[in-house]
Amino acid sequence: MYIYDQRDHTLLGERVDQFKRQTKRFLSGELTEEEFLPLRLQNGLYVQRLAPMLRIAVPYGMLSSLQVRKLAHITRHYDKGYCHVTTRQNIQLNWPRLEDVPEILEELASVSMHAIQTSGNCIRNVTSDAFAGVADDEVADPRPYCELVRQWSTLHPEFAFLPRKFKIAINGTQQDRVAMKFHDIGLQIVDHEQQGLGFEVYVGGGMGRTPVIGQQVRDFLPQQYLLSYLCAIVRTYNRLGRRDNKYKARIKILVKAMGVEKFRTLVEEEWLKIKDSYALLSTDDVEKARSYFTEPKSIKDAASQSESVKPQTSNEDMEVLNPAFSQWLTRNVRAHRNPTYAAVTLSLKPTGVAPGDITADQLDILADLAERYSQGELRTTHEQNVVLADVSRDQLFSLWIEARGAGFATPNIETLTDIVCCPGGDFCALANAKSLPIAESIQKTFDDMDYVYDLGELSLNISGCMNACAHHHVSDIGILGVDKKGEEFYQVMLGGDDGRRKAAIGKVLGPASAREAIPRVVQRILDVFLEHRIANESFAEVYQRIGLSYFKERVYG
Amino acid sequence: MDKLLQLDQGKSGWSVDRSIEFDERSYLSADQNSPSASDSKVWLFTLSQWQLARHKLDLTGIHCGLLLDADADLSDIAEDLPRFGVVVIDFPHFNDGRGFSLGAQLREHYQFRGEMRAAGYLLVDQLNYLLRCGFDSFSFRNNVDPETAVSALSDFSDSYQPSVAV
Repeated sequence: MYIYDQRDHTLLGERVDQFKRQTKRFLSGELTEEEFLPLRLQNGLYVQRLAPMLRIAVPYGMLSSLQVRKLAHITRHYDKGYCHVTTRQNIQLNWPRLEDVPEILEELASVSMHAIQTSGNCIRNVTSDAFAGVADDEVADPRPYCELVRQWSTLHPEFAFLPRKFKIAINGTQQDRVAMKFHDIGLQIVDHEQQGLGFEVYVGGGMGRTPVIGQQVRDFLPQQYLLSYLCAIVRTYNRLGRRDNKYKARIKILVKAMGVEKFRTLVEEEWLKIKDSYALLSTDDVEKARSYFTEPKSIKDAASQSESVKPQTSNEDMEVLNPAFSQWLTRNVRAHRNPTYAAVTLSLKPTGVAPGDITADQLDILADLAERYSQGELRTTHEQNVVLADVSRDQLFSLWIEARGAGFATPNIETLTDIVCCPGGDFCALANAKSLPIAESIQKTFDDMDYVYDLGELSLNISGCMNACAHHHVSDIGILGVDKKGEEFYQVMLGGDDGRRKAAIGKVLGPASAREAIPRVVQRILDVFLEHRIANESFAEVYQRIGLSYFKERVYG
Repeated sequence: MDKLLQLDQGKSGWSVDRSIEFDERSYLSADQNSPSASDSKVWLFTLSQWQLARHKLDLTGIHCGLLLDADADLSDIAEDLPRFGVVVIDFPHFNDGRGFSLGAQLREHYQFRGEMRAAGYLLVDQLNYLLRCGFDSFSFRNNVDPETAVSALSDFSDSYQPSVAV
C-alpha cells in the first residue's frame, strides 16, 4: 500500500489549514454561500437533506487497519456511529457538523487520509479493481498507475474548476471490472509486444441522466506518456466543455457533440505540443510506485513453502462438516494468484441494513480482521462491499466464524441480494425517491437463499435519482426512483452491463411502478428468466438471447 | 467603473494597489481614443480591436497589451504575441476555469514571457493555482481583503505537479 512521504504530509497539512481559514471566512460572512460552495465541495463537504455529508477519499479503495480504526473513531465521535461505502469506493459520513469538519479533516490527515476532490467540478478519486494484484487475469497491477494519477490530479492547479466533475478509472485485468467505459476517462492496461506496458484510452463514458458508453481515443499509449495524455484530454475538455448548462457539461456531451474523431484530433494536437516537455513517467517512477504494491513477503514465503506446509484442518473437511461455510466459500471467496491464499469479500449487504453501511464497532472489527488475516490492509469495492485480499487458505474457516459474528458473512456476493444502492431520498438532497426501502423489500422478498443461488450471478442496482450513483444503467436489473407529481415511483430497466461481459446500457421495461409493486415486478422478471433459461445460463445470457419483449409482456401484460 | 484590487509581483514581494481604476474595455474605443507613442500607459486591445488596429493604426512605440476572453483561440494571434507586454485574461466568474488552461497554454505553447494577468471575479483561494498556471499579476472585480489575498498566494509550499514556467 502506498505510504505518504514528506510531500504528501506537507500538502495535506497545508490543505487542512487552508480549509480551516476558508470555513472561518464563511462563518464570519466574508465568503458568500456561492463562493464557499466550490471550496467546501472540493473538501468533500455537501449539504444534504438533513445534515452536511462528508465524503472521504479512499484512493482506489485501499485502506489500512490504522485508517479503518480512525474511521471508527470519527464515526463514533463526530457522527451517529456508522458510515457508508460508496460506488466509487469512497466513504461517506452522513451527520457531521459543519463546524467539526476542519477537525475531522485534521484527524483524517493524521492517518494519511483526506476528503480532497471527492466532490466538485474537479478530478475525483481514481477507482480500480478491488482484486488488483490478486486477480490471475491481470495484465499488470493498476494500483501503481492509480497512485501516479492520484498524485498528478491532486491539487492540480489547472483542473480545479472544470465544467463538471471528472472521473477516471483504471482497469488492469482482461475483463473490465471497473466500469471503465462509464467513466470520463477509462484506461485499460495493455502489454504491447514491442512497446511494453501502456494503455488503451477511452473517453466520454458516463451514467447520469445521459448514459453513454465511452469511446476509444487511443489504442495504445506508452506508459511514460500517461500524464501528458491525461493533461491533453482534460485541457481540451476544460477549454471546450459546455458551461451554460450543468446537465450538458460532462465530457461525454462534448465528445458526442463533436464526434470522437474530432475530439481525438484536438487531443492529439494538444498532446503533440506538450508530450516532450511534460513530465514523463520514467521507468523509475513507475517502478517506485510499483514497489509499494508488491505482494507482502509472507505470501511469497508461503508460495515457496506450499509443498511442505499443510493447513491444520482442510477446507474440504470443513465444507463437508458445515454447509454454511461451504456456501460462503463458493460465494464470497475468490482465487488468489498465489494458490495458498484467497481473496475474501465481506458482504455489507445483510437484509435490513442499508447496502454499504458499516457501524463504528464493525469498523473496529474490520481493522482487526484485516490485521490478523490480510496483512493489515483491506479494500472497498465499487459494489459497496469490503475485500480482504490476502487471506491464507488455512485461516478461511476461522475468518468465516469471526466475520459471521460481526455480520460480514452473508453469502450473497454477486447474487440478487448483493444490491448496489445509493443513500437515496432518506439522505440525499438530490434524490427524487427513496432507494433504501426498495433494497430492503427486495432482500426480504427473496430470502430463500437456495432460490437466490439458483438464479446465479445477477446484479440489481437501485438509484434514487437519475444521477445514477448506484449505476442502475449497467446492472442486469436496474431500478430508478422517479418523482411523479410529488409521489415516488420506480422505473425498471434490464440488460445493462458495466463491462464485465460487454458494456451495455439497460433498456427501460415500461412505465414506472409504485414502491409496493417492485418486489412483484422483480419476481415476474425472474420468472421469465427461469422459464427461458437453458442449462446454467446467466440472467445476462438469457436476456441477450430473448430480449426485452417477454419480460415486458409478463410485467405489464 | 469597478474598483479593483490589484496584486503585482514587485522586487520586494507582492504589492497591493487599491487605487488603480482599470476598465480595459474602454481603452480603445473606435475613433475618439487614438494611442500615441508619447503615452507611457499600456493600451489594451481586445482580440477583435487588435485585428483592426494592427492594420489601421501606426503602433510604433506604443505599449500594447491584449485582453483575452476565456474562450479565446490563441492560434488566431500566435504571431503577434511578442508585441504585447501584458496579456490580461478575463475570468467572468470564479467557477469558469477556462482561463487556467488558456494561461497555461499561453506560457507553454507560445512561450509568452510578458506579464500575464488574471482579471475578473476571482476567489483569493484560486491565487496559488493561478500563480502555478503562469499568471504573475491579478486584479479583482470583487471585494477581497488584500492581506488574505497576499497570504493565499502561498497557501501551498509544495506541489505534486511541476508548475508552468514563467
